[in-house]
Amino acid sequence: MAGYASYDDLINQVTTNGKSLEWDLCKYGPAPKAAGVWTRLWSSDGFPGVKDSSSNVLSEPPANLTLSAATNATPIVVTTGTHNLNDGQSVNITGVVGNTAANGDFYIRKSGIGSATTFGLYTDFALTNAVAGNGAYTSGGTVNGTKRLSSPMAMRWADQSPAQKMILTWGCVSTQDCVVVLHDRISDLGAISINATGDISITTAALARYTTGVGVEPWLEVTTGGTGTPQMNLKTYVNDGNTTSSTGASVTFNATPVANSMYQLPLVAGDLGVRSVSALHVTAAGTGAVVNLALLKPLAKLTLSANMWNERDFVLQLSSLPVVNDGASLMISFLASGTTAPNFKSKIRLGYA
Amino acid sequence: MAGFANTAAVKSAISSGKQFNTQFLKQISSGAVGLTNWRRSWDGSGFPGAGAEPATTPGTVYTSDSSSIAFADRASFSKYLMSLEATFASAGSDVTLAVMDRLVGVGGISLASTGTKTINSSALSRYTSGTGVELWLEVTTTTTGSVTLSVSSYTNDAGVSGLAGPSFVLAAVPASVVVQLPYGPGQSGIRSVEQLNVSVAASAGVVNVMLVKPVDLIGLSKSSSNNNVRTNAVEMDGIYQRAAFPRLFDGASLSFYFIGGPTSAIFDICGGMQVIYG
Repeated sequence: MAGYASYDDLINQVTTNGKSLEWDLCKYGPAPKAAGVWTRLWSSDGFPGVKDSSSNVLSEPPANLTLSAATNATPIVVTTGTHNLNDGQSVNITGVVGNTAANGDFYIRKSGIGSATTFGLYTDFALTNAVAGNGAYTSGGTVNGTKRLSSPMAMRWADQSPAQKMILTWGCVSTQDCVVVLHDRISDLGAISINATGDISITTAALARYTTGVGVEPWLEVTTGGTGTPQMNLKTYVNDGNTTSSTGASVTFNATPVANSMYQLPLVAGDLGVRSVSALHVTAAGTGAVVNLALLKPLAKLTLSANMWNERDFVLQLSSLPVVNDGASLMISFLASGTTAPNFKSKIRLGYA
Repeated sequence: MAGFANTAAVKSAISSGKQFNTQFLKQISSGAVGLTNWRRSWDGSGFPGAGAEPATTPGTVYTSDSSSIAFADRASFSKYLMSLEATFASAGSDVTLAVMDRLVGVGGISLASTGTKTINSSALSRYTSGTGVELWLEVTTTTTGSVTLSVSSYTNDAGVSGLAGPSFVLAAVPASVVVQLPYGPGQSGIRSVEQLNVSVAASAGVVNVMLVKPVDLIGLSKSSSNNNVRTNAVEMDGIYQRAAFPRLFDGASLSFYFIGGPTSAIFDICGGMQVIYG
C-alpha cells in the first residue's frame, strides 16, 4: 500500500532508499496591479522556464478551436481557425471522427509543417514523436485548451505509481511581502476576450487529476491588460457532485487590469469544486483585456516577509503530507503587497513510497 | 546499506561519532547592493578564507575546495546536513541564506562586448546528470549599464545539447551580485554550458558562469536577536523539527548565496553546520 507506515519508515525511504525528489524554483515575477491582487508566476521567466530561444511564451493555453481537417499522415496536421500557437505549446483535442488518433493531449509544431491555421501533433515537448493518423478525417474535433500533464513549464516529477508522492517540506522567499500559494494546474483555456457583455460559451478539458472536482478552483488570469473594470461570473459549470450549476456570484476586476492578475470565480453556495465549465458571463465589459480560465487545485500556502525564507514541514509541523499526483504541474501564485515586481526562490522536497 | 533505517539509527550514528561539526565566519566587504539582489560570500575573508575566481574555459571543478565549507569523504556512507545555524553580525533587513554546492565555475566572461562567449564548462563531478543544477552568473567586475544576454548553448539533464534559453536583461549591478539565468521550458536541470550570447553589452562588466546545486536555505530574521537555528533531521535529544535530510555528496564545496541583509559596508556572516552520516 502506498504511503508511509511511520516516521521511521519515512526516514528509511528517504535516506536508505533515496526515495526523495526536489525542485528549486526561481521566478522573476511580474509587477502586480496593486496590493491585494493575486498574481501568477505561471508565465514568468526563470526555472522552470516558459520561453523558447526566441522569447516566445509557450505556457499560455490555446483558445477553443474547431477542427475542419486532420490529415491521415505522420504527423497528423490539423486545420483550425487562426490558432496563434508556437512550437511546443500543448492542446487537448476531442471529438474527431474518422482519424481518431487526433483525439488526445499533444504538443504542437507549426514550423516547417504548419501555418497560422494548421499545426502538427506530437506526444513530446521535444517534438520528436510524431502522431500517426489512423484513418481519413470524417468530421468533428475541438481544441479544449490544455490539459496539464507534467507540464514542461511547471514544477514536475516523474510518475512513481504505484508509489505516492507527498510534499515533505516547502519553503519560499520573495523580495516583497506576500502570501504564496502552491497549486496544481490541472487544465486551462486561453484567449477569452471580455470586450462585450453577455455569455461566452466555452469547452474545458476533462480533469486529469482530482477528477471529482472537489477542491478544484476556477480562476481567470489576465493575459492581456486593458481598460475599464470588467465584471464576470460563472454562467454554467459542472460541480463536484457531477450536476450542472449556474450563475455563480460575480467577481470584479481592478480597474485597468494588467497582465498576470488573477481573479477567482465564486461557485454557487454548497459546491465544493468544479469538474468543467461550459459558459462564462461578462456583466461589465472591459476594453482590450483577454483572459485564461485556469482550473487549479491549491496544495499549500505560505506567508512571506520580504527577503525572509519561510518553510513548512508537512511531516512534523503540519502533519498533512499534501499528495502530488502523477502528472501534477505545480506553480506558485502570490497575493501582492505592492506594485513592484518581486523575485522568488523556492525549494520543494517530496518523498514517495 | 547507506542511510538510516529509522530515528534510532540516526541517534546511534550521532552518538557513535558519525558526525562532523564546523563553524564559519565570512566577512563581506562589498557593502550593500540593494535588497532585491542575491549576492555571494565566496570572496569574503574569514573562515574558510576567500576563494579564488574560477579559471577561464573550461573552468574550475570544485572538489572539497579549501575555500569552501567541506567535509571529509565517507565513501561507504551517505552524509546529510543535519543542522544549520547562522547569524548576520550587523543591523539590517531580514535575510535568506542559501547553501550552495559549487560544482563548476568558468571565470573571466566579459559583458563589455557583444557576441558569443565560449564557456565549454567542465563535466560535473557531483549531480552528474545535471538534475536540479542551476546556472548563475557571479559578477566580479561591476557592470555599467544593463546587459541583454542568454545562455545560447547548453546541455540539459537529459543530455540534450545545443539548447538555448530566452534572453535576459541584467541591470547594472555591483561586483558580488549573483543572478540565476532562466532556462528554456522543459528543463529540470543543466549538465554543462557551452556558450553565452551577449546581444546588448555594457561598457564594463565581468562575470563567472557558475553551476551550483542548492542544498538548503534558511531565513534569518532581523527581529530574532540576529540568530536563527534550523535543524534538518533530528537533534540528539530527539526533538524533530524538519523531515528534509539534505544530502551532501563527497567532494561537496559549500558556500553561500544570500539576499537581503545589512546596509553596512562590512559585515560578518557566522554560524555552524552539523553533518551526520550513516
